[in-house]
Amino acid sequence: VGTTPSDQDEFARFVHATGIQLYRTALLLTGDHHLAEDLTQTTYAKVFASWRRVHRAQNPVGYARTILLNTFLSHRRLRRSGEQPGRAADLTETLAGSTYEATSDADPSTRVDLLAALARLSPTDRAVLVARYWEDRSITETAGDLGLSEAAVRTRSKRALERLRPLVLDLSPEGIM
Amino acid sequence: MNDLPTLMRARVESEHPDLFALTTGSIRRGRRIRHVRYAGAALASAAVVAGVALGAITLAGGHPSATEVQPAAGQSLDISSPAPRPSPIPLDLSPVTGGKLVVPPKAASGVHSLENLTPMAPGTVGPRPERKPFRVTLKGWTCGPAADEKFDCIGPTDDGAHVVWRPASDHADWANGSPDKQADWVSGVHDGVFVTIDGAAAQELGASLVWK
Repeated sequence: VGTTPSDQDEFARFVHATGIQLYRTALLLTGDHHLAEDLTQTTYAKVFASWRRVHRAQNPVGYARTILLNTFLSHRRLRRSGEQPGRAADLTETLAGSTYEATSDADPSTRVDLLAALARLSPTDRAVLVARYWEDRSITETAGDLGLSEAAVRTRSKRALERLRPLVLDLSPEGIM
Repeated sequence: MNDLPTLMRARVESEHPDLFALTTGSIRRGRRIRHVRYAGAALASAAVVAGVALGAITLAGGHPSATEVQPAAGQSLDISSPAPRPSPIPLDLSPVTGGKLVVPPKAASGVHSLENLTPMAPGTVGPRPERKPFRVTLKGWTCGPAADEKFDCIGPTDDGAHVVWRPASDHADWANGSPDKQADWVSGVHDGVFVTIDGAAAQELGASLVWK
């Protein structure tokens, strides 16, 4: 029932090939480096637990992405319901803290505004925006990924962009050009 | 002015996780997930063995209430039944489960009772699974054994959900969404209990419940 060294090598190659993109997705979803690391690792742990099945799948990357989105939304629900004690710092507190050290050449004010603005959205709205505008998923694919109707994806996407616009100075009126 | 994809790329383009730590941590946690799965499967197998054993006794003419059940060490179950039937039936289920059912010869008294029914010894085959008052029938989902009136289910893409059944007296709090009593899905009251589900596909899982 275990994995062979060969399986582990293949899994390690998979993580190295996809880890940066998945981590960045997690960062946009959570707005926090530690939460993003935890979410990414949880996702890969689930992938590893089913590695032989995942490896045989046509689109292992899509499988991992779907797990990431669902884990993010499940985690938020569990935290909200109190069934799972929150071990990470409250996101709002984290955002107000020293999370946003400048680590990029991009304009720091823009970066702060974008993640802070995303964090003000509901987790589902955030997931919709990340899927649509970061992962470049279609409305149909996003609806399938998140278990929403296409109409709900359109509505949430429009509403979330409207909320982001006044918060993100550089965001074009259409959200996407 | 920038579009959202451009702003997102600008924000995260320099972010690099520690891929080595990510790999080793994922493997470690992934192994733990597997162990939990296999432990659940083993427990379910033990429950099946016990069910088959009792069924076999019943079919053999004995009555479950006239059976003295004393689980032995490991995954074996000794049923000392001085049954009125003429022949003892030694059943060895080891090829399937590793479990073993032994029916010894008649006792002298021929009296059967549940008085000597003993709980499973700690460390034998784990805690006794609770009987769930309902089944989760959503396709592709597998649920583990219940303990403390709760259990976890795992979906086809390894999403998890937490299922709890609770006394009807608490239903109003959960249905009305008290601050500390919220769930993604709350059932109605059924036979003195109701169910809450948190996690992925809570609505679908809830809709799939079949009460026993």
